[in-house]
This record gives sequence, C-alpha cells and structure tokens, in this order.
Amino acid sequence: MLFNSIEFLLFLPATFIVYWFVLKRNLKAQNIFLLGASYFFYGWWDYRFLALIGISTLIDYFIGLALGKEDHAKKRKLLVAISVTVNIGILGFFKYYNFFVDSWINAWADLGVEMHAWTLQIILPVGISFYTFQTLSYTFDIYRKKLQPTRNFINFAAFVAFFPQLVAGPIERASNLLPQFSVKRVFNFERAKSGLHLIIWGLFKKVVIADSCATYVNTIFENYQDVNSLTLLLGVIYFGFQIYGDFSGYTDIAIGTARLFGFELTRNFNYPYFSRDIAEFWRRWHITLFSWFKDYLYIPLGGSRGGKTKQIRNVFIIFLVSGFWHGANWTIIIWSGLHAVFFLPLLLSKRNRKHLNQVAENGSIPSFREFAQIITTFSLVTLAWVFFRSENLSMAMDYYKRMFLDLNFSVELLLIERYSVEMLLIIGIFILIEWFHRRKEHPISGRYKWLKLAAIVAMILTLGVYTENQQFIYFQF
Amino acid sequence: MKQFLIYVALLLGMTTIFMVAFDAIYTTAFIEGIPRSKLQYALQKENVTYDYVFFGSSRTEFHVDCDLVERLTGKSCINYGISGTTLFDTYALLELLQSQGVTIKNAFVQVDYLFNDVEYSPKFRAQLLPYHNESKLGSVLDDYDYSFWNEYIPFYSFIENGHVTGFREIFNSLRGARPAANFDNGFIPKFGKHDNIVRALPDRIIGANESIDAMKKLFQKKNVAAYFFTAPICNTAIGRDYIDKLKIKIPELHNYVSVYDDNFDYYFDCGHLNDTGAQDFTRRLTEDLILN
Repeated sequence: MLFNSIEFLLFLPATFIVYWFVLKRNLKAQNIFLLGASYFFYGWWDYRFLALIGISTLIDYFIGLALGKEDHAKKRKLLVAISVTVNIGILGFFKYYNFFVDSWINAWADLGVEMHAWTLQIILPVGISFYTFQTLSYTFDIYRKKLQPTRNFINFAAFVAFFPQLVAGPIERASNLLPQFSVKRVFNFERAKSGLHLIIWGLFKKVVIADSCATYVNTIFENYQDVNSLTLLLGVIYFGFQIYGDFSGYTDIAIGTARLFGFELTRNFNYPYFSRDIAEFWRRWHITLFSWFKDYLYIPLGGSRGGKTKQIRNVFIIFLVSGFWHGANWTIIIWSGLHAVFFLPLLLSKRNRKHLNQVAENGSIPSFREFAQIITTFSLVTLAWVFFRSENLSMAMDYYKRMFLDLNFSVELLLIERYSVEMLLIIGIFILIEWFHRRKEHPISGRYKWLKLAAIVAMILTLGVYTENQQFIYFQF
Repeated sequence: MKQFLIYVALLLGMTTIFMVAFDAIYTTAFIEGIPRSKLQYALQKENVTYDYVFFGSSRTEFHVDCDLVERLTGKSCINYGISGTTLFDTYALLELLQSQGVTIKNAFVQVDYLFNDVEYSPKFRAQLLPYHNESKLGSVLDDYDYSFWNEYIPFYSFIENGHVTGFREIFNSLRGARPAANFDNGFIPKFGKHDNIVRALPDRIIGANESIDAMKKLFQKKNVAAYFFTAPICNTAIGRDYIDKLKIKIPELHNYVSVYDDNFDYYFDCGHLNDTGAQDFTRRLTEDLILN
C-alpha cells in the first residue's frame, strides 16, 4: 500500500478509529491490532512475502531470548551468527543472487569463457533491507548487553512490522521503538497535530517535488543521447530533488503516521542539501542507516582510530557496504565509492566533524563562505547521483561525457512539451521554504501556520502528480 | 481527542472548499479559455463546414499539412489528428463534431496497427472529463470509464489527469498563452531526425474494429465521402505485412506504408515523418485522393 494512494487514505483513518476509539483501554489489544494492521498493510503488495517477515521475527525473537539466558561467549557468538546467517541469507538471496551470478558470468565472458546463466526470476520483497537491519540491531544490542530481550512476542512482532516505517524506514533501534509498545499510549493533541502536519508536508515533498521532478528526470535520462549539456545538468539536479523529496517525504509521512498512534520514530533527514561538506551531508541524509553502519560496522572495525591505512579501509568498507545495501548494481557501488572518495580528505585532515551545528545558526542568510561550501557539497552530491540513476556504467559515463563535453547550454523543449527550466521555479520555492524552516522539523508551524497549511494543501491539489505507479524510490531497496 | 477531531474536520473542510473552488476555476478555464488542446478547439467550433478533415493519431497530426492541402485544392481543410489517441477516440470526436453541427464533406482516416486497439486512450478521456456536465458532450462520455470519483468528488478528474488537464495547462489558458500548435490547420511538424529505433507491428490482426464499422455507418448516414489510408512506416520496421492483413479488413484502404522506403531522410522516427517527409506525403495524398 502506498502512502500516496486512495487505499492508504481509507486505511489510515480506519486504523486510527479502531485503535483509539475501540481499543483505547487495552494496550495488548492495541498492539495486536497494530500487528494485524501492519501485516495487512504489507500483504497488500504481496501476501506471500509476509512469511519472510514472519521468519525474521521468529528467529530474532527466540535468539534474543536465548542470548538473554546465555553467558557462554562462544555460544552467544553462535547465536548471533545464526541470526546474521538467516537474515542476511534471506536478504542476499532475494537481493543479490542475480547480481552475483550475472557478474560471475560476465567476468568469465570477458575472458572468453561462455557460462550458462543460472539467474532466476526473483522479485525483491518490498522493504526487506529495512526490516532485516531493524531485527538485526535487536539481536546485536542484546549480544552487546545494551538491551534486555523482550518476552512479549506480540510487541516484538509489532516492532519488526510496524507499518508506518516497515517498507522504507526510518530503521529503528529496538532500544527506541520496542519499549514504546510496552507503555500505555495516551492521546496527545499537540503530538497528533504535529504528526498530521508532517504527513501533509511529506505528501507535498512526494507528490509536488519528487513526482514532478520524476516527469522531467525520466524524460531526460531516457533521451540523454539526444539532449544538450544544460538539459543533462537539469536532469541530474532534478533527480537530486526527486530522490530527496521522495525519500524524505516518505520518512515524514512515516514519522507523522507513527505519531498519530502515539509513537515517536527517529529523525531520518535533517536538511541534507544545506550541508557544508560531505561528512555533514551523511549526518543529515538517511541518518538511521548511517548510524546503523557506524554502530555495528564502522566502530567495531576500529572507526577513525588506528593508522591512515586502517582509516581509509574502514571508510571504504562502510561506504561500499552501504552501496550494496542500496542495490545490487555496479552503478550504486561506484556511487558509494565516489562518496567515500569525497569523504576521505575530510577524515584524514580530521575535519569530518567540523560542521556539527546548523548552517547560519544565528542568522537568516549564510555567509559567502558557507554558501560556497553548500554549493560545492551539493555539486559533488549531484554529480554522484548520475551513477545512482543510470541503468549501467556505460550509460553513466556517456551521460557525464555529454554533459561536460557537449557544452551546449541553450534551453531545449523536451519531448514532454514543456520547458524543463519551469521546474526550477518550484524547486527554488521549495529550497526557500526549507531554508527558512531549517531549525524546525517541518514548515507548518509559527505565526502563519494556517496560511502555510492552506498554501501547501493548495499546492498538493494543484501541482501534485497523481499518475499511476508513482512508487517511492527506496521501496526497491 | 475532541480537539483533534475538530482540527481534522477544519482541515477537511478547507480541503473541500479548495476542491470545489479549483473545480469551478479549472472547468471554466478549460471550457471557455483559450483552447490548449485540439479537443478544446473542436468543442468550441459550431456549425462550420469543412471540405477536407483528416482524423487519426500522431500519424495524422504530424503528417498532413492542411495549409498545403488548401493551397493545392483551394478548399478548406483541418487536421484533427490527435497524438496518443485511438480509433475509439476518433469515432467519439466524430460524434462530437456531428452533434455540434459541423459539416464534413470529405473525411480521411489514418488506420494502421491501431486497428488492434479497441479501447479508448487515457489522454482523450482526460480531455473529455472537464466537460462531463456539458450538454454538448451528449452520451459520448458514457462509453468512457467514468467513475464515482469522477462524478461526485469535485476536482478529482483534474487531479487524476494532472499531466493533461493540470495546473500548467490551466495556468497557461488563464494567462491567455496560445499553444505552439496552430489548431486552424492542426498540423504539427516534426523536425530533424530523432531516432532509428525499429518499430515492431503486431503479428496478428483482430477480427474487426467496431469503431471503424461505426465510422463507416456514420459517414454513410451523413453523406460524407470517406477515405481510409495508412501513413508510411520505415522499412526497418518488423511486420509491415500487418498492413496487407489490414487491407483485407478494409478493402478501400489506401496503403502508403512503403512509399518512402528509399527516402530515409523523410523520417523523424520509424513511425513518423519529419516536416520534409510530411510535406511530400501531404502533396502525394492530396494528388491521389483529392485531385485525381
């Protein structure tokens, strides 16, 4: 079920009414209901994949219990290894099987050896990477004795499958979300209202920014060989805003929806395009994924401690693994490798934690230096998106070549019969809205709240794109 | 909770007011504003007489220059070919023109692999929806998928079809911006060469196309001289023998599919001629079907 679908428009209020009006006095019934609603929400795509969530849930629930009782170090390691093997095994089979087989065959083909293709028609279950990491974090935290295992299976199953964040995050830690299932929820008007505002703002980002950009991005990338440098440049800038609007919009709707049910999820985006360097960008973009990698991979590897070689190795490992997490495609691996290259100079010169505060914290406009830093960071991130969006490496390289060597910057009429620069106006307005509200969670607040709300609703109605199949990009991960 | 429910009700109320207001503004702009599409243009034409009218999809819209036809024949001509439409839509357009008292003396219908497509096109449906309360539409919309949401939720049809009847079109209509296309002629030239992608025609042809049969009946009833023709398709296209099968279904079909096999420069892409090709094709069509 998509957040921007009519089905969800009916599902959400129906769930809300049953949850607060019918089951309000019974915490256990509320949790059972949330679990059922979450499975219904997920099963709407393909009920067969519910079994995978079920397996993941059962494995980590029982391993969690066993870890709680077990003190023997080797046995504890074995239990964690079972959890990792099962979870990563399922993820690996569905997500990476074809990729590795194809790569293997291609590698042999380059050496002149023809091999038979063993690839299968595997459908990637929606959100598998998200809930797999969520359940793994539960087991890891119990193993590290940072968390006590829960004995309440319903609460644990609801934590794994919690519908607002099931398919595209935020990737929650058990230490944050799981205890919330044990506490009696009391309806809070201000919290629910802010949830509603987040849903509306997230919807704006999805249907007005992301899906409008998608119209141009798809046309430009499908016809990249026929358009000039300016259009190619616009294509990748639009993609940057498409993916940001799409993913952060989803996250806002997820956090807002959870709030309507009395839950608080972790923030996943913090105005990443106002970052002053790549390190800051990764502290503001998909925050829960990178904090996951930091805690469970980077720090165990030694983090930024040790010699330069070890630091470089760790940076490349974390970025390449995150690339693999995103997708089984060489373009994504190169994209993540590029970010590692951008990040390394900051780490080696110990400037990776220089920008921990909000840009222009005490002013309304950035200094010239800050502005230049923002533009530079945005340019690096944007250029790397070419790899993320391209279907294969040769397309990405060709795209760069045409963008930088064609040097034709005349305004072109695209096949969609609109001047593609018109989208820049909408993006410009969006950037200004974000800039002036960058210290807040979302812009629907303050003195002119109703006016802002009205303007955003009007834009959602008039500027939104509602054609079919406007999937969220991160659902494929 | 009560406070929250009031808040939600206020929000829904505001959204409803917006939807009603936008529906009224969009409908007015669409129906009475400067026509931004060929259908809008057609629905603003009443009681006119055309000597030559060309119908079809982009393979008519991009291929027949009515200015040239008028110069060659000295008679009135209009190209009502609409990109992305099917024969189902062509028949609907014909019905609409008839209901508005438009007299057509000679009708030319481009038919090709679209013979297999018996459905309407989403684009044409989207353009029809703003007129759903207009009597001039008659019963035409009944043949299209017209849902509860379209009927009872204000502004839903515009939201559903934002890419065709959305803000950008309405905004341009309200500010009086005329589209690049000249609807008095209806011809949209394509320039240069776009791609060499090989087109594949269907392997099989369906038994009959009801829209074609209905068109023939209507032409007969209204005493319209009707011509069916197939525009050129590049010679690298797979399965051009489909048109031979089509000729069996429509014996009076004028087949031009291979006339530019030696003039690859006439093609914009495999299924469409560029302006140079279109000018030559218009001349050829006029000489064959009208002058001779």
